[in-house]
Amino acid sequence: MLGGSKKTQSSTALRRLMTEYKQLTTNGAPDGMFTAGPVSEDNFFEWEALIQGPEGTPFEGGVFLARLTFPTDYPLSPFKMKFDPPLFHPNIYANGEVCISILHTPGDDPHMYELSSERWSPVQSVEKVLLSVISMLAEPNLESGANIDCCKLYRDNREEYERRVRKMIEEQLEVLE
Amino acid sequence: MDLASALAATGADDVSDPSDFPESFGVLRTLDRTLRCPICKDLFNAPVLLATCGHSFCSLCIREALKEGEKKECSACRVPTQESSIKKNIGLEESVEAYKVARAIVLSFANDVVSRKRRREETVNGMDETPRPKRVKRESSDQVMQILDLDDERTEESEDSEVEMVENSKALVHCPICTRKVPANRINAHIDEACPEEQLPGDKGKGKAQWAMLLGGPGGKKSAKGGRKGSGKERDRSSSPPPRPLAKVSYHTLSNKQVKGLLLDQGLPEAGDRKQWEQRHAQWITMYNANLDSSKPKAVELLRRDLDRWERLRVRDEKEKEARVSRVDSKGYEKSQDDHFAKLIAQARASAKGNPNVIKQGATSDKPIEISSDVEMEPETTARGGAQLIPPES
Repeated sequence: MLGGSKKTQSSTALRRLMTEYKQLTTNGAPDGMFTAGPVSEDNFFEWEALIQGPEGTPFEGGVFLARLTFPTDYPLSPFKMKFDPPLFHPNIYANGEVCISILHTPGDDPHMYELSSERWSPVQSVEKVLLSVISMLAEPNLESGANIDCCKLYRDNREEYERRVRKMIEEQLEVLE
Repeated sequence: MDLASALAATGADDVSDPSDFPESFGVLRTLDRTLRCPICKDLFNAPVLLATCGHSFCSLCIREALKEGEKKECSACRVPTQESSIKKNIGLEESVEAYKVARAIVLSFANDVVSRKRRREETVNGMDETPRPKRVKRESSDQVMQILDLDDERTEESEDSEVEMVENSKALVHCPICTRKVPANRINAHIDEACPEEQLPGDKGKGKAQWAMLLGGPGGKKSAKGGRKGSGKERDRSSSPPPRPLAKVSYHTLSNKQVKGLLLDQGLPEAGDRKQWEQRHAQWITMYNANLDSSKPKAVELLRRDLDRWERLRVRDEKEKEARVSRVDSKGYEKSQDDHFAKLIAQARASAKGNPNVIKQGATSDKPIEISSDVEMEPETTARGGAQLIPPES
């Protein structure tokens, strides 16, 4: 349209989310590693994502459901991401919430380890975050652990860690069936 | 949630993105992407440039991003910047305005090529029995589509497009030389004959309105395009001085009365409490200054309405946030973790006294405590935690 577009904070968020959704549905994710979209068309601020466990990692073969909750000032503030059910992973809290620097604003640093260059910025997107999360699944970041027991296990007893991850995937798949 | 009205307010149906273009037209996707604000992913609206790094954004987008962040930095490259580095990007604005018009045409052209190709393939595959699929990815205006059915295209599929041809002959295009409207089937002759007056077919109704919107037809053209060239601005200058950007205010030095005065000066409501006044005024400055970066700024009245909507949404968000926070049972959590906290405190106290034995025991006991495991991984945290712990391995 030629007319000046109407913009307020929340409608910016909504338009941005619709654009991202549209792009994800037409283009699909790279290598089909994930799908994401609003839980219902009535509320564009709650999304669901299905993520495939990356190949060559203990998460391979798993399909993980995550909820993405967007703030109304998105993309100025990042969204929240929570695996449901929670994943056993060094950077995922017991409640399933993902702790990853790209989802933290430069002012918000629970661990003081994260470089501000890795943080959220409004030019990031659902796609970029989900790709980061997938690479986080493959390579946990022990410096900002969210699940300390899991961090220890990952560092001290990789075999046992992998066994537990695989066990968790099996259990989750059973639930799905 | 008031989604329906929010959707209506955004004009949800005109959400566009680079993937509108068919995959085989990757170059057009790239072009489309470069004309979008990296923050809102829309085509640039009043684009500005950050003089500190050269990245472009919508004026409102980057102003809000700079206001929000604690660090003022370019959202794209994180180079430190400040509001005063925001410069109008007039060339980009002109490109985007021109592109908006061209986009619809190019898009339908691209989609048309793709669907023709598909149709041809289907025919080759002996599937011509199946009814011809309607062109799926049609852009908003049929008329635009018809323009593209120019002669060379038509000869390629002569049998099945007779109906279209009849329609096509009615479609109007702007002559690139005299810019008058000319029926598409006359355009070549029209140019050959050095732009004579054309008899326009009685085209009326929906298509015409869409044209006016799309190409800035009679009426639309003067207001839209005239404004774009900046002549509107010049007119302003001759009659009254151009509006100046509003300066930011540091509210904490002001009395309530002074803050109210600021609101009154801008014709803004003085409802709510002090915090709301400040937020309202600050947001007004952002929106007002962003509006000035457009070559066809909105009327101040419209801007006030935008501000009002912004505020109502914000109030709602804050209420939701409060509701969410109060649901978290922090007291209960503290209680359930009491033992754990006590242990940690004891450990920290002991270590503060510089008795390494105690810590060693703590850290190597069967029940690992979080601090100790943290320490094992990152010895340098100990200083920050205040506990002079020695990693058990060393």
